[in-house]
Amino acid sequence: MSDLSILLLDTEPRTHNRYLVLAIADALRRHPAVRRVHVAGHADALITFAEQGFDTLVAFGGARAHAHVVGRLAGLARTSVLWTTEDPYELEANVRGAKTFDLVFTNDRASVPAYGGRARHLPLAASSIFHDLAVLDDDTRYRYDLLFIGTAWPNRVATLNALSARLPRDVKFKLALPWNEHIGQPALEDETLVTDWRCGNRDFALLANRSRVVLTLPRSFSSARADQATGSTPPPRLFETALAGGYQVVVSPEPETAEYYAPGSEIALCSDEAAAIEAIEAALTSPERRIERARAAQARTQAEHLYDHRVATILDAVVEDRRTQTLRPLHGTTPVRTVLMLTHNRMGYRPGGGVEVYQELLTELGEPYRILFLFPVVDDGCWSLRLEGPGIAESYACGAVTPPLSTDPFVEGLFQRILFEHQIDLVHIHHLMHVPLSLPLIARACGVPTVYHLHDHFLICERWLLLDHAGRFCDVVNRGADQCDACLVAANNYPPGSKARRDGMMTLVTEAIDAFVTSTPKTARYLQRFFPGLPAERLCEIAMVAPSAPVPSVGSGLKRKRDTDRLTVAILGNFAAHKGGLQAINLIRSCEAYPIHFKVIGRIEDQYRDLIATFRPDQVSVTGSYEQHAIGGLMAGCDVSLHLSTWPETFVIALTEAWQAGLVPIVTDIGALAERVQDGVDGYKVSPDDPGSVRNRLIGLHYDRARLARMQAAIAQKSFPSVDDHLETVRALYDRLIAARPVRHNRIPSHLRNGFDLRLESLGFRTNAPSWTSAAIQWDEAAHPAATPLAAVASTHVRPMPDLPDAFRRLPLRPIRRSECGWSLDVMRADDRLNRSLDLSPVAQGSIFLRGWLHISGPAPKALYLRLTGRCGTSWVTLQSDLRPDVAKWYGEPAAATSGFTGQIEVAGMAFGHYALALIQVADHQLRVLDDIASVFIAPDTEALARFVPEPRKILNGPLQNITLRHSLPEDMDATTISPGQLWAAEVEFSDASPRLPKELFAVLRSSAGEAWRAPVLRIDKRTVRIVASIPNIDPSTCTVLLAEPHSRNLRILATLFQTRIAAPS
Amino acid sequence: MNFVSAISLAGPHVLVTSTFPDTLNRNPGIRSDLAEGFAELLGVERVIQSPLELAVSVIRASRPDVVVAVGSLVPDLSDLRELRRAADAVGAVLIFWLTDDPYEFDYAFKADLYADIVVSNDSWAAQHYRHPDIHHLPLAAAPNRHFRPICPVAERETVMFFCGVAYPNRIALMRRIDDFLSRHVVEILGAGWPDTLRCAVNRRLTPAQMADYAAAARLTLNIGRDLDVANRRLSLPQATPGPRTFEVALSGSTQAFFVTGLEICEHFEPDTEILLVDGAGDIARAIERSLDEPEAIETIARRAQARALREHTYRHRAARLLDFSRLTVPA
Repeated sequence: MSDLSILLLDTEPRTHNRYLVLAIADALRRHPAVRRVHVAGHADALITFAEQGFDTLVAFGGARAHAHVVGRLAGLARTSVLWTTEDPYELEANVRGAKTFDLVFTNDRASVPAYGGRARHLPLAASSIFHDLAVLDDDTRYRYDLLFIGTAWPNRVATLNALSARLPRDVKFKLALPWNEHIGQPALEDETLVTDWRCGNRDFALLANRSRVVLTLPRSFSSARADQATGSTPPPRLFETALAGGYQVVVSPEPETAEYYAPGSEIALCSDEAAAIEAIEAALTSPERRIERARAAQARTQAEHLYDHRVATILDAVVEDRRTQTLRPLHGTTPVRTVLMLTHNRMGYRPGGGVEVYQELLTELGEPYRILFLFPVVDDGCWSLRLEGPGIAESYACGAVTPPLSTDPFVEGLFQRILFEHQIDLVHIHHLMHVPLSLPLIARACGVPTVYHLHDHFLICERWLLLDHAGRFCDVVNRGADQCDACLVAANNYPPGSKARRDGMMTLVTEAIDAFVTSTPKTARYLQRFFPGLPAERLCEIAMVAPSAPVPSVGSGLKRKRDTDRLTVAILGNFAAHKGGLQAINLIRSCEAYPIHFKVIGRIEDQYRDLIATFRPDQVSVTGSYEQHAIGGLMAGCDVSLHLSTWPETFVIALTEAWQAGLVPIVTDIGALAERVQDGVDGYKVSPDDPGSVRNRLIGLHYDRARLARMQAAIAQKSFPSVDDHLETVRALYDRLIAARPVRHNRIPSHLRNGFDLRLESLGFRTNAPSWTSAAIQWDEAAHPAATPLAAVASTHVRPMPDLPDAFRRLPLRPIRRSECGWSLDVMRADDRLNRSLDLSPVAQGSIFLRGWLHISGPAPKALYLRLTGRCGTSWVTLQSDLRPDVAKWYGEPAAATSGFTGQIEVAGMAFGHYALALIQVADHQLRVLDDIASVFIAPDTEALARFVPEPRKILNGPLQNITLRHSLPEDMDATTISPGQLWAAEVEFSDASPRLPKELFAVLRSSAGEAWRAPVLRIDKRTVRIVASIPNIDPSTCTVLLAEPHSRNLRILATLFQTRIAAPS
Repeated sequence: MNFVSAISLAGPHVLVTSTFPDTLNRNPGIRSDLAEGFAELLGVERVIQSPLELAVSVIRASRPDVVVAVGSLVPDLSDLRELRRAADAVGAVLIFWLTDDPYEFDYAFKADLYADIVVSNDSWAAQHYRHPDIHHLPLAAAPNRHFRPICPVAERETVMFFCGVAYPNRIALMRRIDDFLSRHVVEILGAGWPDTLRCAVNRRLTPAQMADYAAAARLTLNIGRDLDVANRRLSLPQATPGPRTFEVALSGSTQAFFVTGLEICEHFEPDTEILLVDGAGDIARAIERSLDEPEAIETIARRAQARALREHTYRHRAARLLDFSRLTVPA
């Protein structure tokens, strides 16, 4: 009989004793009732169990850690087994969690009653793969007289001191006494002994085998609760030592020890130190008898105490359970199936495009599907996750906006909670922008199938349109990644190595996704060429659908009013750079001599508005933004459509809409456009950035109306999937994935409201730093426990000083060149907001936080300071040193570990304005200065952030005043673009000649489209006002920033501060 | 994942590269040593070595049968994905020989993603990999860099030599023997030693100097490392002796090896090829013996050197790597 398929899980992802699981797996594999065994990790346990048809779960460890995942796993198993290892110390949690399991075994006999009859006793054991060593017959071959390896509990150290004092001086001890800060370093009286070392379990067995006596001392937890019983069953070391051939002297043995080994003939059990000394001396002076007992203990172990024996006990119980078990009903299959749309935005929040429209279409999937949306919302430098769905509208604060993240333990735990609490059956990812890339891995660990919709190329590159820093298409799959670092440095200011770090993380992410939905075959093939490991069966082609049904009067070819004297060309969709905006402008210019009219249907990006306005009305007409349902009507009378995207689009709904309206499209020969159009049959293809070819095609169609008609006739024959067809295909995909891996929702223990603590690290993965844009490599000791949002790292505030301390003030300054040092400013936060753009100074109202390192070869620095140089003088701040073993490692110089610094600077009382920051190291009797590491705009003593609100009043010119302006944006505003959400601080000082400041005064932002927003200013004195505000969410445009006062029912301008461009929200 | 289908009778073509860029690599010597080990086995014309930065283009150009990448998996900026793709493109077997286990075991998952065959420098860490084709192979010594002719121990002025980074476990041991060592001519060098240790001097040595110093010392102390970079998931202790063990043997110095496990006995015979020590008393006794019985200490050094030449050079490791890839060539 060998029919059991067993999945074995160590319930503790982080453990010092993983070898126990390896030993049990080895024993399971040798048992005749077992067909196959898989040792799973938390990343793959649920998915492996479901997909590979396992029937039995053995959860080894306890029921406390990751109880939700383990409970869900138990729900999948025909027989679920829990074997605890930490009773009685974790008895309470284990008893609670044990209810999820069919069979429970506890490592501690005294704990059995606590389980109310549900648990059996099963001690740990020894392993034939790690511990089985021949007993040495020759006493001279033993290397040590006395071996003890164990934590340095004070009682143990005291016993070892007593033994050392009373045993003969030539007894050779071998001791390892690992300690921690709670129990302190062991104070051994024999100072020649070296005890600060550790070894693996196999080495322990080898050492036991070569030791005449292996000592076992009781452990006493100084932190144990008084009412907590100590265990009655000995730990596995007892069995391991015996199998390794070590002769054991056990002091204060657990009550059961004598049941496993016969005192006297197999083992020495001693009630106190005196008895132990006697036993040790006897063992050393009578080697034959000792070796005989060691051999007897080993034989007993081989006969009774191997994992093979324990496994046999478990499997007997499993078989019995199977025999008596009635067929278990399928738990948790509920009539409702909940799909979580994980996306970057939802309609009604930030301006969007086709993705936002499409997502909403999926809410029409109908029963049994319930659709929820989870997406990031950024506001005022902080972000939150927003969960929306029928009857659900919740926001979860996630802290300050950070650079793009690979992992964020807080968000990962939150995501797990949402998956469980909202009983998610499937996650459909439309975008991973603005959320940690790890979320698909968390979904997989929770057993939830995931679909990723390829709306663009985000999985391949952070520049998801595959347009490089210069706006050109980057064919990264074919040309390789050599250019990637340079591009990301130039375009995003990410340090070298960022692309490889991101790709490494994305390799894990793509492996975790069950299906990639592509609208066209080539988009998926491109992805697959970038990630060659992706199996073809995970790629699923579902043609995108136009959300609005075609207008029958247009699509059916009924009579339309078309002007035969001119060719009308529709430019569909957003008029933007990546949609070929510049090419379209040049095309229109080059066609001015011909009767060709261009109709711009869609939103025009700000940079093109003025240019388009220069064309004659007979050349160009503009409809502007439109509602989706109106598109058919807007295309009426058009002959041709243009789709001149410069990036490899993944579908282009507008192309479908153009065809449905009977238009002949001219498309760029790239991406899905090239795939979908048959050149010369149902459209034309032209090279990207080739307006001349487009012009030739347009002139050709204008003069050859017969050809135009032939092509239109061919297009009329085309058929397109309907919305219903599309939804049916999506539904079939969901059905298939959920059927392959149904999530058992109602097997989760109801008492577990908390404990959602899956992390990327719990899954067995690790990254050098939370963000792939960081070049830092966090070492074990340097990592912070990050159960809270990353922003919430506390630190002591320090205040700036007017000068350096006396001891350093007169030291000579030595400027440090970039070439003679290594440095990095890893983190810079102003008021807990991370500074993401090094081009712009962050604005700090309360504090600045810095963390980084500066390494210069030579003597280690005695002290480190930050110098802040502003308009009104220089201040100095003491920085704390920050141990940076990562820097030390890569420099190969331990001294470089002292290069780290950190500091939280309180800015209250400092002068308002810009400050240049420099690092000062005191070393070698000089001040080593690294200038211009960053700049900051300090706006202390201002009130809370002002808010810009829409201003409906007219803004009139008024009596302009002379002012002096100081503000946080660069002086060269022409070269600068600012984004919504960005902080702006300004101080305006009116000249003495100006009249008194009015009672009410506003800062006003006025866009080129005539819209306006106002915010109150703070009056500092009778001539000075200040404002600190975040830029409101304005459509991209050119804005003028003004100061204005109420005047009658309008506002009147008192001063024009500057003009700037507002970019799309970042 | 690839396995070589047809290798010419003369043996496979091998590319030796690193698992991380040379900008971060403080020990590219291992790569050169291994390449030379392969060259001894296969002939120089069949072996190329390259930093990771150039490995992809070298693979495309030279189309090796086997790619051996040596080093650490920690840096996320190592483009191992591209290395895998390049190996796939030419049908090469990709072997990772990981040299920093168990201290960096948290990154072992990367080996599962990219390598056909994984080889760990540490035997206990190797037990814990999930990769289906995992092997253990200790690091080794390179005759052309580490070998020194043995000079009479009686003529060696330095009684004990040690050079290394002052990890906490090493400092703790040195504190216990500081008084004793300070009474002898010793060279306790390296970096990070606290000022309070009288016997130690913060001075770094080149690999060649290390060999010279070892060759000139009656004893070389061997204390393992206990500093984790990324080992918090399983906290695996080290089991396999580090490369210095083999290098010093080749340099002709008798080693006093501090025991944290007995795998050393598989590589050198205790007492006849290496001295095992467990504490300050053992070290003191070894020093006294080196002064009293220089011939016996010299005999141990000679035996260890012979054993290292016989079993522990990179040529032997190269042969094992070919065994793992089913491309056996006699060592």
